[in-house]
Amino acid sequence: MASVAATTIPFAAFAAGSLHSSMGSLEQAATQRLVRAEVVHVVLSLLLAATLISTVTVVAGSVGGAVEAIRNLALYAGLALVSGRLFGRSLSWILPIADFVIVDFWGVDGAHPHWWAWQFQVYDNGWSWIAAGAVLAAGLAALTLPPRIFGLTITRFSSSTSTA
Amino acid sequence: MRHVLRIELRRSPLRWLLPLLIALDLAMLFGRSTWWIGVWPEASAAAQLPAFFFGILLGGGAAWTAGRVHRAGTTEQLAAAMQPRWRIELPVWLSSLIFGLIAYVPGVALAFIVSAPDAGPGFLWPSYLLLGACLITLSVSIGHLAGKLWQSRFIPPIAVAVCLFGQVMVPPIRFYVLSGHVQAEVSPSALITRFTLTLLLTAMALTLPPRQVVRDAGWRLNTAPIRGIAAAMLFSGLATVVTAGPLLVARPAPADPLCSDESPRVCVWPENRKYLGTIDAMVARLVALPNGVLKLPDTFYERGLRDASVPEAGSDFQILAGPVSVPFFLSSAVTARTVPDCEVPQDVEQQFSHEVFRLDAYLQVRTFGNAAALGEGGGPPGVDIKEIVQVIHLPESGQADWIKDRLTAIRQIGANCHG
Repeated sequence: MASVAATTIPFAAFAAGSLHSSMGSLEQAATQRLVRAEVVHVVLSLLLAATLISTVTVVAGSVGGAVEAIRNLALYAGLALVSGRLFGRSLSWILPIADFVIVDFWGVDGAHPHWWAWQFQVYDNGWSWIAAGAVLAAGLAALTLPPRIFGLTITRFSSSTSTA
Repeated sequence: MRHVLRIELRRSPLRWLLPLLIALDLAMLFGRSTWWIGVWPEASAAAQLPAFFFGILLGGGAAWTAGRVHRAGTTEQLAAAMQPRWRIELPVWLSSLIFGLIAYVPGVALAFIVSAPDAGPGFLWPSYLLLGACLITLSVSIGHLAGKLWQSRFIPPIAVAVCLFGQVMVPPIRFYVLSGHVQAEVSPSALITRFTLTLLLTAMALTLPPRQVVRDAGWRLNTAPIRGIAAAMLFSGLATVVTAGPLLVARPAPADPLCSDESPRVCVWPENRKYLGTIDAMVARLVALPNGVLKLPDTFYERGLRDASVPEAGSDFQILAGPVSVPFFLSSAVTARTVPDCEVPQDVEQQFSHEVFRLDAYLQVRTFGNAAALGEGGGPPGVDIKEIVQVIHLPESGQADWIKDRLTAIRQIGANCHG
């Protein structure tokens, strides 16, 4: 179901982007307590997003599509969290949209999606779930690791963020 | 002004995106298919298509650039400036547009360079290139407008993606074509209305005040009618684009199509001249079958060269994504002439069509030179491809006998055959 391959992007970008704060650069140096709160925040907003989009998809008549939506949400949320770490949380949308552009253009060979076009796979494709889980785990790791270890934030982007 | 533009170009966050956009453009041009090389309209359309995809990222970048005023907290100050709004915003918008066009040009130049040797005299079709430039401008303007209107950091890029990718669902307002087959051209009225809509959106992107200013400073600017007028103009602009008709329209057939000297002749559109030799060789493989078992037409035409009212024009060949689609059409043209006209009783219909399908599959493989013509798991239903491959390896006379056997079987199964 190709439509949930695109419509889940805003949900994931909003969920990850809602971590944005005007004190972002200060918060990067905060204690583990804030990190835990942020993880809870992301998990809860993703649960909310998953509930919303899967409910709508089920109402629209596609139970399989709803399951795929949850998987795609996990995939894009992972990318959005990594993107937020790289470019600043306000720019969480960059990697999910870039991923979609690339996979939409190259991911389908004739009628069948390539194995790596995870968001185009049918809901019962096991590998796509493993991949989505791995990407989400990478995103959560990017969120929780201290900036010293994963300090790749490109400050040119985020400097204008923190002054707002 | 020029000085400000230079500063904007130097400071634009899009300069970080530019290498990515260029890489994406070139990868999309060459990384999926290369059959468009050497056919001017196809190459032009291929150079245009990446603009649609990188436009989503470009628009998001333009939105981020335009949203700078909100992030820096200067929304109010800008609204109270002495300079008219458009003069302040023009360099910002222009810098985003310049980055978009810089990403577009290398693909166009390379499409020309790689196509020139095969395609012969001519140039990329400006209509497709303009369409791509139009889409880039539209992406930047939508992004600029969205980034300015909403103070949110998340709504603008999503709005851009919805506006640009939403075109996939709404064909009448599409700003892109997937390919440029020679039988079609961009309709001038469709292109002009799209260009006008782009200008309109650009004017809005430069002049409309942000929502926040409208909300907080209503005492200073009576802006409510401006937004109403803008929405009405946008709606009528979209309606004009829809009423201007489809983006691609049929081209009139060329007065002098390109034809081979062999017999039977092969005629193609002049733009498709790089395929003439290949298709000629396909027809030669059919001619080479001994004993005149096949009945070939005098001329094989490409689709669109003959008037559609000619009875046989329906089976004129089409070149879809390269010459691999051609054997299918050649084979059906030959089968239609070769297979006798029979009455087929209902109980033997399946048997009859099975024989025709076998012959058809054989002819496709023969025409193309190998079984790749049928594609993976392709070919007519119920035909054993392995058997066809065995036949193709028989000596020429053996193959002719096999065809004769098929035709005899067809005559036996059908009733009252003639021809």
